[in-house]
Amino acid sequence: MSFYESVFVNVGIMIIIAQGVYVITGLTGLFSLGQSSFVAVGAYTAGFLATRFEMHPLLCILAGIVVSILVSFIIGIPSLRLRHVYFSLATIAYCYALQAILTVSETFGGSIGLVGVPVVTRWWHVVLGVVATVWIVRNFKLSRFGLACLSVRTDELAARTYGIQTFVSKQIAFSLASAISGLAGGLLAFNLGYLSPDMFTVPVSSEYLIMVFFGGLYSQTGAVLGAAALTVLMELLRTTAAWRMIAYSTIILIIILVRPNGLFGTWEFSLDSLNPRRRAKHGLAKGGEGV
Amino acid sequence: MFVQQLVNGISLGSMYALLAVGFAIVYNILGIVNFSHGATIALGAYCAYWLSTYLRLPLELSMVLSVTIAGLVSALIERITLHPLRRKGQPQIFFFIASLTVFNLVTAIIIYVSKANITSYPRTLIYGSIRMANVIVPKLDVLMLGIAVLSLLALSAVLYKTKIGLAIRCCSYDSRAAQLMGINPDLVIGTTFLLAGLLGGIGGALLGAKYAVYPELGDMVYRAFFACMVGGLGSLTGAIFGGLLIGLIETISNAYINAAISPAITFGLLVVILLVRPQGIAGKLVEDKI
Repeated sequence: MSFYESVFVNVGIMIIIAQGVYVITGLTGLFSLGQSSFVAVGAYTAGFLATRFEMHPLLCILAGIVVSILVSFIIGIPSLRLRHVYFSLATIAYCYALQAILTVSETFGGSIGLVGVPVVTRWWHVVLGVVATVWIVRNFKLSRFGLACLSVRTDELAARTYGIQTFVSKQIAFSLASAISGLAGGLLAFNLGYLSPDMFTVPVSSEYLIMVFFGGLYSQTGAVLGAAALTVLMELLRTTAAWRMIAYSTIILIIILVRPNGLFGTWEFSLDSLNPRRRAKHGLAKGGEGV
Repeated sequence: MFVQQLVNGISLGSMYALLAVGFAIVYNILGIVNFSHGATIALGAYCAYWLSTYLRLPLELSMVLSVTIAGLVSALIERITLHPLRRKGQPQIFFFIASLTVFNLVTAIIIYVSKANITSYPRTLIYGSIRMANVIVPKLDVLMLGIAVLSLLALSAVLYKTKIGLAIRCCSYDSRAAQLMGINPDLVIGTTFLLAGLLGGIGGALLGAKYAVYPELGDMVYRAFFACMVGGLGSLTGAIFGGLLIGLIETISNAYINAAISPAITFGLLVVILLVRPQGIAGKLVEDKI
């Protein structure tokens, strides 16, 4: 695999992860600092099945998604009752707990990690994953479930008054986000070939969150482009070696201070907006809250 | 054996309590989750290490200096990053992200300068241990507990006996009314961050002496966050209790179960506490939580 392909695969996986963060944080307004642990669930399930049972990679990734969804119910049912920062706290707890479990568990390679996963992810797999994820998230956002999530983000009490089951909406968004993270995890496992518990810590989750924020928290386009831009930036800064994390964080900080809404704010790309006549018809020219 | 672990737990918990109180005073006044507190924790440990190793200052002096640096850096972080957001009246989430980014930035700088090595101070802070019946307490633990108690007493003296302390308490009740009474909010918030930074610095420097000096020391901020929330939102006493509780659970699960699995047990228990007692152990009712 050439250098450019590996960069491309990284960018693709990051875009998928960012879509998951967008669903739970941008759309539903829940600050999850445990997103990396769902990536871990997907990655470890896929890696475990591939190394121990030598299953087909596709099946492994599917299994990773299913397990992520199951875990999202186990975590979501107690913690989604908590609001605001308390939910963030619960996700931090979950992230630490999972990391501890992975570190002690012999089955998953302990602190050394899971090694010997076949490296089979190619660029077209990632393209397929990205297209599927973006399409699903876009449709979810426009569906009534997505609108329910949006109303939960805007005003939870008002949403409840209008008969929206806020807990169910949150659980659906949480499970979708976990499934997407699980998919990204599976691709990651087959891209890297090894997994270790310290690849999925709370700071890593915070980096995902910052990535989505960079593009514009309330914009799906922003999530895609923010993730792509920051991952490419990270690769470009590779020449500066040790300075790169500092430069990277500084650039993000400046963007957050100068444009607190992120690069794209609530702006969404749509095919319609390219066509002036249809643009007028749909009233897209007016802009407004990204729905 | 159990008493022994209890003593260890209280000593570790007193450190967490210091960090949690620093976290809580900022939360009280601005209502923001200030992750940049983690940066001051890591700086507290690293500045002490750098000053004592490269400038060959005595360890005690470098610790005092590093705590001061941590406090000033904390106030500086507020001035550079959070102040512009506050002036524009941005929602809470921007503070959340901005402080997280600052935390990552400072960690990146520390990793760059220290080459990500795990090191320790040039000498042990204090040797020996005290023996009472069959309980052996390292003098370092006693010192940590003593410094924690003194710092918290000093903090409460500042908050309850001085004019700036009155202003801080006033702002945390109602910052708008405080402003109308002629209190300068920038000064008050700056001082609060300075105090929080000092507490973080003390915690960091001492944790560095107990364990080792490593870049991820700043991640203790997540424990402080937990202690602050489990203790009870908006209560400094609660934050102290929360810190002690985390220290105790962690030490006991380290000793009786398994050191590697102890984060899972600690954090699992904390979530259970949050669920059954959402108002926190200090008992101040916060309706907003559930």
